[in-house]
Amino acid sequence: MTTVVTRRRAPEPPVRPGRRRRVASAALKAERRAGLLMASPALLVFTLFMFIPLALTFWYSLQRYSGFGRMRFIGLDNYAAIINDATFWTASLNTLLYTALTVPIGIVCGLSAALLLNRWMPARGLFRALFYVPVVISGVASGIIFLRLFDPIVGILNQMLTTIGLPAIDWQGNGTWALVSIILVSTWQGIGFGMVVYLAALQGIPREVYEAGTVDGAVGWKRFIHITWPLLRPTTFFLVVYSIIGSFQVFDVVYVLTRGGPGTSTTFLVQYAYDQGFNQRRQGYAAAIGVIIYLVVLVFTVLQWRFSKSRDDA
Amino acid sequence: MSQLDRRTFLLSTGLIGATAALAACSGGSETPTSTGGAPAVSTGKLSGTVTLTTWGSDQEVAAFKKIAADFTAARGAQVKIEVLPYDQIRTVVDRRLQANQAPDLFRVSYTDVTGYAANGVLADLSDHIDSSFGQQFFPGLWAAMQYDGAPIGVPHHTDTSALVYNKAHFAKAGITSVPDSLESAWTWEELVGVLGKLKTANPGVSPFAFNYQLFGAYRWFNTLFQAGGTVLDPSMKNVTLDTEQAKKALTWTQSLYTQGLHAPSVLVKRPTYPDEIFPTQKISMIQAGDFLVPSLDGAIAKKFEWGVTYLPHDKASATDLGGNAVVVTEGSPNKDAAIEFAKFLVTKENMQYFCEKTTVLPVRNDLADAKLAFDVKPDLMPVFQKQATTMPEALVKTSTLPSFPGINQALVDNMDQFLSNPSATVDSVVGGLTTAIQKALQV
Repeated sequence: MTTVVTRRRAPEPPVRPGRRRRVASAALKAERRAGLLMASPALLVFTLFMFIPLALTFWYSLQRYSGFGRMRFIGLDNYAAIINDATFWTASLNTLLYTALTVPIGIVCGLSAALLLNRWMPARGLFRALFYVPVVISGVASGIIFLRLFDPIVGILNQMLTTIGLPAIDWQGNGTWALVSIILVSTWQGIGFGMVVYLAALQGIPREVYEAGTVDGAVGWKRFIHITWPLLRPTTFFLVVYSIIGSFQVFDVVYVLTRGGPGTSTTFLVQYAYDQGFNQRRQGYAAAIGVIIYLVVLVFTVLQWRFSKSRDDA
Repeated sequence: MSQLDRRTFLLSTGLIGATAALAACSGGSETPTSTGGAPAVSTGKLSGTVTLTTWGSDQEVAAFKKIAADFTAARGAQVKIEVLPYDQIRTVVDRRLQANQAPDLFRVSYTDVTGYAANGVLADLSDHIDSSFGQQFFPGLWAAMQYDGAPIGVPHHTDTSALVYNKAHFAKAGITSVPDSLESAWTWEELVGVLGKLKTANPGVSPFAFNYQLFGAYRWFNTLFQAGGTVLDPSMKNVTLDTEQAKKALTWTQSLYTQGLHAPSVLVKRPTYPDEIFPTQKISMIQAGDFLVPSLDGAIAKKFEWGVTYLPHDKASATDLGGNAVVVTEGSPNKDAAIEFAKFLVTKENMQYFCEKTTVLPVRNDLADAKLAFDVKPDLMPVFQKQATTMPEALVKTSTLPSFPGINQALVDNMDQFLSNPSATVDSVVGGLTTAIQKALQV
């Protein structure tokens, strides 16, 4: 998580002409050594669990491999196959649609929760904790809980709907409603995180700004539009990019709730890659899909990094 | 005389099965290596521990454990039975094979065996069995256990599907009799009539559901073959779904959904299994395998009476090749004991015990005519036994191809969009299935 803090460079050591470089290098060298030492455990973990698997994924994407047995080098054939694969494009479109729907809903819900829980009320801490609990529950566990709730035949949701006279919804047989069920569960999972980030940002807005605004007549809704929302813009941008990156990687909820069905209406990119790699035993193909997901997410990550960097240096 | 018919039928598919095995032996690059120079260990004490990784109902697991205990008492080596959920076992075993931590033995369906054998991960049993070993089993299924001329596992049992129905719902619908012989099985039209009556008499309950979910997707081929269609041509190289019969089978299945006769949320891609819903009385009749009889009995208990009848027929009767084999992995650290345990599982005594406890069907010739004392609902088993005689030869052959998992997946990926969408055209699903199966055949 980034914090909105401007960094200042450490003051330069006193300079004497001629001796400048040597003094600087001795101190800097020691600092560098200490820095490397401190960072090495984390670097080791990252190398083992991120950089090496990343490199291996690139390598696998150029092979034909069933998971065990022989590996065959086939160059860029997997990528060519992906371009011609209709299911891949369906999965990409589904992922884009899912992202386009989930991100705004998540932002709005998170912000609403934060605004509601920013003012004092009894048991405010309890409410905040309750909103945050879904974030820490494992995605698989949430999926299994909602699998039972959404069951079209014995699920409690449909039973409640029919009791109040509405038609029962075919949560898993109908493509649109299956997508809705996944969006509902993801939103439920993500509200807490948005709420916490917005709460921190809201509490960073100085009271004087609000007081000055009240003098000028900015109260209620006007206050929100003209003061709160603009000041939350950096936080909103961070959350939008973070949510987009997260939405592109949705997997566990989908796998448990619908397995990508019915047909391909809830097949997303990561779930498609999993299916190809482990059920179809085409690990090279799955690795190629993984590389494409990686590149797309990388673009968004760089965007966010450059924006926050330019903000910090401004 | 049902068992005699079955025996003759299955022996006559032996030739077909042998041909299938030859077709399956598509020059694999890895020939399973035999165990070193050590002589075959068929008697005497064994040591160490072997693990059998399997899925199973409570009764199946208990039966495995009892046989494992008997093996330890007789031969000395410990056998650990590791139980995993059914829909995870394939990926778990795959990952363990990839990590070189494979279990010594694992249970696998006949449709999946060749996939593993083609990757060279199954042990060759030749050194541990004599030439007469394979002749104890149904020829078609023993042929399915061969790869590149070498035996790579033992056939353990077979299963098939029939119709399981709720007698209380039938009584409410005024249906007083169900077919009591293969010849008098319902036609498709008669079945639709029955389902219609069930729907009217039992509001809020779905009349029917098929058991073609996920790894069982190929059970839809029962409907295809009943309409007189086939999946592949006799050469097993070309897809034959663009036919009148196949389209009839597809449209008929879809019509069950659009007419509200099939449970709308029970499709192919989701793990919603009809046998889990049937005990709640929300579905009146399901197509189900014999191996589910003990768990159904446990879930239903005394809540309602239920029975079994024959699958419907159109141009022909047809049912699916079910059942599983047990294989030993090439990378097993205790291969001798593992292979001996596999052989122990399929002796006459142990196979009979397993089948009686779990209501599955034996695959030994000397048990084909035996009257088995099934533990649970023995009165229902004869229907399954007779139904098993209607397995089409072409379907058995297709089901044991090395590319069959891909064919199964083609159904998983293409059927739901057609079944759950009344406006989906049959040509689109035929096209989708044909492309996907053709792709699978080439792999």
